Amino acid sequence: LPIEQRKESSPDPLAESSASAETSAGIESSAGRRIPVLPPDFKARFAAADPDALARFYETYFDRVYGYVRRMLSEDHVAEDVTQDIFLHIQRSAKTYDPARELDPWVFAIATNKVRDFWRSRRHRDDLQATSLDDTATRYHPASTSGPLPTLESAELKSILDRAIDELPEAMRSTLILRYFEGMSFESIAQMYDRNEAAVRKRYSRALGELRRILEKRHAGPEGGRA
Amino acid sequence: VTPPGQDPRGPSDDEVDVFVERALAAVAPPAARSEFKEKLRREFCSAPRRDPTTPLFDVVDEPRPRSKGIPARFVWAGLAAAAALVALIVYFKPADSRWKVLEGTSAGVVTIDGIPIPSDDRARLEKSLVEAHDIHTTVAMRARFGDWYVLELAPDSHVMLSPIEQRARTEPLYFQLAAGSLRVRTGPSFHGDEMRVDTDDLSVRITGTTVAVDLVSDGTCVCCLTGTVKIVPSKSKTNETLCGSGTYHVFRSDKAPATGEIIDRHAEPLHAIDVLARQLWP
Repeated sequence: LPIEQRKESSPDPLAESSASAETSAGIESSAGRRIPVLPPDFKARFAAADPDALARFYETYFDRVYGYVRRMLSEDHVAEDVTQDIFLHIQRSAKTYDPARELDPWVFAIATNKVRDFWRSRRHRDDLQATSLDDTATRYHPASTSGPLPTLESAELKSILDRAIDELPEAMRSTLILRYFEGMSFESIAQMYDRNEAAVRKRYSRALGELRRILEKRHAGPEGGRA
Repeated sequence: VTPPGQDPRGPSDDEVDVFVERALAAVAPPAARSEFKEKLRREFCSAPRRDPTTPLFDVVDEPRPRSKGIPARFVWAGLAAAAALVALIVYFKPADSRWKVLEGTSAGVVTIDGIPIPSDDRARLEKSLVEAHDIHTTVAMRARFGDWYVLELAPDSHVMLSPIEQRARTEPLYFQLAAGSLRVRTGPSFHGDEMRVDTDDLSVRITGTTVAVDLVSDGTCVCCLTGTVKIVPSKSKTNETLCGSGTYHVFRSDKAPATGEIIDRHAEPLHAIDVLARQLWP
């Protein structure tokens, strides 16, 4: 569903994030992705649709937006279509962007709206019987423990995690990706969803708990032993 | 057996599971095809703009034959005047919207996609509704969409929708009610169409009726004045049918849904739009 793109500015979300670390070359998200820090005058030049700023914007955001969309939609060709739609929307809307606002929530709000538009066109909600992006209450089964995870080979772990992320309800998946992989602050994500920060923190924690539950279930296998 | 130092009740609601966070480092970000990335880059970075050194028209080597008796400056002046006239017509042409704001809309501000619009500026409101994704109103708003339906939003309502005029005919009209109340009375063109109104608690499927969906403190209340609607509570995912003069209340807690007769307080505004709809579509 469309997200209210709020006008008030906020502090730099990445600089505040505990899930990211700033270095001279940029900011590193928890996932180890280096997110370049844009120069101070960048937002004004982007809003003026300056060609160099657009090119810089594309370099900075393409992989992040594609990664987000691909994880939300799980199909390459669909992710490409939606990513294209997002960038063309951004290109058209650059002149309406208010440089006083942070870029991350603006960009990912557009991306989330486009993902939702796609789901709606596919009747995704009916197919998955899943909760909406704004709903976290249902389908949540709290993790029973918080100790170390079962030992798995890294390739196996990666494969299981990939599938487990795909299985997360949309709201949790979206929050997990934005927070962990894109290094966005809870405050920025809350601003995007028009929710309070505590609710977003809780949703992130629940997403990790749900991942643990899926991982442990996979590890146990159908008969309770190692699959 | 709970390991030493671990809370036997399990992790708290906003405690971050550091072991899962660490494990996520094994997951690589999805990478796009390089051809796609390059193609989109060219498209994105070539924002439509005109190079000032490029002439508007191709320069033709051979001089164009001039029409006898009409000096070129008059031809250019005529063309410029015609272009200006076309621009004026396009600019002042009223928006081809099927939305019409109706009496019953209170004076105040309706915010559409983040842009506040005075409710008495009906032309602007109707134009904005064409592509509206997000409507936030602090006052009562009543509007008609062609002969499809009358929509009424109570003060302090927040609704998100798919742009109605852009949808495919086969898709249902879709509303997500985030706050307040939404009332609908369908019209004659609605026949065969479907509307969905979702809240966090339930989904209402409407195929022809007068219905209200109210977000209340403990859940969502659906009141049906005429016709029938289907309700799918988020928790049970089973269809419930609600007939005219009935009410169905889904609680956010584990309490079972309640049904009964529509209460006067909820029936009155529905009667009002029903009367209005009978005037519009006798």
